[in-house]
Amino acid sequence: MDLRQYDPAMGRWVVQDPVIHHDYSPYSAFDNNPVYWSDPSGADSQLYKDKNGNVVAGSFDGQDAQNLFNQYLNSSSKKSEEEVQQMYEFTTSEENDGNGGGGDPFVGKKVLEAKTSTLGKLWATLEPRTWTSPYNVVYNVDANGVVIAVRPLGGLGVLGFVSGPSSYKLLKFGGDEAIKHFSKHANQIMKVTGRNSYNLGNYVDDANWIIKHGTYDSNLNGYYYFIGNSSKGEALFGFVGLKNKSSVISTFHIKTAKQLGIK
Amino acid sequence: MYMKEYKVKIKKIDWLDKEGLEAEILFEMKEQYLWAFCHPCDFIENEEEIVSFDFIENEISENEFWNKNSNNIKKIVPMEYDKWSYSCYGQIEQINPIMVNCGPITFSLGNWINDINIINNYVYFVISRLDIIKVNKLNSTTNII
Repeated sequence: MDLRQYDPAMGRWVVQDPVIHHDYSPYSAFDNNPVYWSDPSGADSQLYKDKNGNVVAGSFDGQDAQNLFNQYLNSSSKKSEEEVQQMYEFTTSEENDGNGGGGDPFVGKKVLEAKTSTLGKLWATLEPRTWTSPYNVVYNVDANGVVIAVRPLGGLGVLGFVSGPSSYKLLKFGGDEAIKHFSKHANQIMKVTGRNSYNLGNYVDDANWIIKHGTYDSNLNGYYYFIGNSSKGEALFGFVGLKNKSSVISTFHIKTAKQLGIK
Repeated sequence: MYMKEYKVKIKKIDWLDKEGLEAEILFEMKEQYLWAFCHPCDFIENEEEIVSFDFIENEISENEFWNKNSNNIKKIVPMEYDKWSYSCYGQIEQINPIMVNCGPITFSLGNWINDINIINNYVYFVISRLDIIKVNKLNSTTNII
């Protein structure tokens, strides 16, 4: 690329995006949606087009996303459970991230180059930096480029994740259950929360946000939180169920007030 | 909450998560087979059950809602892309809440209009996810259809 340099060994950009996007980290690319956008010059995201100028990439939202994941589920090259877990970058709640409990495996890892400036490292330390993963998880990074905290991407639509930079406990689905539930429920959640696109990372982040902020229902063994209204004004809730006696997510879907017994 | 109850026969249960009691249910009522989402699910295949229905609606334009059922029909048409999604054609039976008779099932569309002139109008709406709910027969007080 002419305008940005990418280190394939690190899998990271080594310079900031020359074009300022106020909604994204300067070290992110493709507007965090590499399936939809391309960036041949390094200057800005653009649609994939063939030599005749026709858009050839499919959008990755709504029904398309659902179809893609259905295709994935039915494919012969289905990834192993371990591979799927690695895809999401999420860890189990039992794993220790050094922050006193379950958290993100990236905490303590170097994901960016150390920052230096003419005024020395102190000045660099005072300037906050973040790195956004492809799964829309934001990592706060210190002057050495080491992840010090993790949180879901801020301003992700109606849910408005604002968990702050403290250690954020990410629970996960068992095995490749996340993909199955995503393919069934994501379309409805995306529409109710007023988003234009929705990916698997958003889905798991949203589930964790509801666990953190929602109300626990002991009968259903899960948490619910108001996420929007139907077109007729009916209140709709995101519901995250948990497996019995574990901190593994079993489902995340929408329930109505009637189903939750809320008047 | 105003809800009608129906006697259906559970034909098939496809588990999304058996431990979490999340499933897709194929049921028969009035000689029509329909799929619905169920959580928590404690149905048994080939049993007759008393159920009620709920749904999540797909937003459509007001023009479509009032004008797309120009043939004045009552039916529930499965959509191709999802087991639980349906195009619903029906007639408004009452308001507060608005009840729409779509043939095999009469759905409540909530309290969002207070004009008695809409009664008997034919309407169209889209269900994104039909939910089936088992009714505790001992607590059931309404007439079963």
